[in-house]
Amino acid sequence: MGVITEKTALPRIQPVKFILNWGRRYSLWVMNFGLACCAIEFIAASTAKNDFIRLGVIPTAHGPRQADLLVVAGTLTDKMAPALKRVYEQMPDPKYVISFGSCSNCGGPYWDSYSVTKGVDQIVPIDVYVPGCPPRPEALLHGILELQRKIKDEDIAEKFGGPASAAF
Amino acid sequence: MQGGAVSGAGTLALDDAASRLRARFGDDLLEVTEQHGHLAVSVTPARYHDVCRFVRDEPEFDCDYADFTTGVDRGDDGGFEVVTHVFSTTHHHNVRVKVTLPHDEPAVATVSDLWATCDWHERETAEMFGIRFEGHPQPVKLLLSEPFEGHPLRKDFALMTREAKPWPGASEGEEDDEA
Amino acid sequence: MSDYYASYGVVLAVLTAGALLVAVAFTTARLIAPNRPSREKLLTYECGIDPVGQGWSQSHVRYYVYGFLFVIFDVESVFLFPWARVLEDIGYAAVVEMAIFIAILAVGLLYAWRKVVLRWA
Repeated sequence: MGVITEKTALPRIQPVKFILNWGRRYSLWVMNFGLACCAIEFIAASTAKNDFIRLGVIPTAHGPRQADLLVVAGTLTDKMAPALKRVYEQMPDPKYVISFGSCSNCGGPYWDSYSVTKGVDQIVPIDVYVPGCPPRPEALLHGILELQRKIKDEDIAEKFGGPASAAF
Repeated sequence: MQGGAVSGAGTLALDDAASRLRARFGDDLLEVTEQHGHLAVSVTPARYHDVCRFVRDEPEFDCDYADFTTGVDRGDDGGFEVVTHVFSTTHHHNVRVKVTLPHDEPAVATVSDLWATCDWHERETAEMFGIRFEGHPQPVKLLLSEPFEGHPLRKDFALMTREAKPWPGASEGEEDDEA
Repeated sequence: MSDYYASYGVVLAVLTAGALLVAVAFTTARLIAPNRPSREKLLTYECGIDPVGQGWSQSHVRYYVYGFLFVIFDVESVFLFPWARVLEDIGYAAVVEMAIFIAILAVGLLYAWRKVVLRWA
């Protein structure tokens, strides 16, 4: 039940915190929520040339339940938004989200459409935004490294404490 | 009746097709032209289904493959135009059937009983233009989200995002294009 | 005598170490990982939409028959290996005995063949 993280101050002691954060940030298994062209760039980033598997991000999550990281890549339409929310909710904590590409950041080139959700941060909380249309695979690597830097100094009890709905 | 007049490749001979259709449908056929190398037939809404059935069943046409059904909003004096494009896998020719509907209460018979493909295409046309396809087995929204109101591809549909923030104009590097 | 039991002791030690590893890993995860159950989190996963129908899907019984036949002939081949090791010492009697064994199983295979169970579709 996460007794140690929630009830004790053990995770805040620096060596323990270091080890927990180290383990968490170098094993971010990813669920690729690929919607459009940015999904292809995500796949390109997983291939041999720009390999993100060497960062610990292994894209064999067969569903949200085996994933720590959700990468929303592509245009989110209003019809798809509830599915994204449900998939995010079904991921176990601790979980992180990267918004990949300008369509998921802010609606992108389809900012004026009648059916596009202008920014997935209206649906799920985002940790890192990767801009680009589409971003280069190196940009995704940079985004993952940025997320790892963010997790390094993270307090797990503060971020994932409290009831599920309080976070967003 | 001449048999097998259409060759295996290439487009249907325009005069031949026009004469066959006129012989069958007379005045309900508004126009038979050629558009982008395809035969384009304009009909009245009442005979739309019959013309489609003729184009599918007649051996000389034999259009068994439906490519798409879509709509066009022709503006104030044009009404809605429903276009169904079909292809013959045996003769390799295309036929385009068009029907013009008035702006208020646009309704036409469904052709999803002739080609199953048109089921979803008509659902999309219905939600985008507000055209009612009579006899459609499942006239529910296909692509738009459930609470969506309005018909987006109509010319008079107000795009909220553009009302809130008008088109910013040409970006730098496009000096001549001011639209 | 103690050498005889020593090898079993090694096996027991390995088993215990394995069980201990699993127990420590899962318990640590239980204690450290945050756990915030919500109604949506515990729903059946169906690619983001509300699940429809039952979760129970039934496989065709022909797949059971293939597994069943495989087990039988796999056990038969397992018996062939030690037989091959002692064949030289025992002589022709062993050959005859194994021929009878395989013949009995071959009758079973013939029965399955005639019942059209070996056809995939």
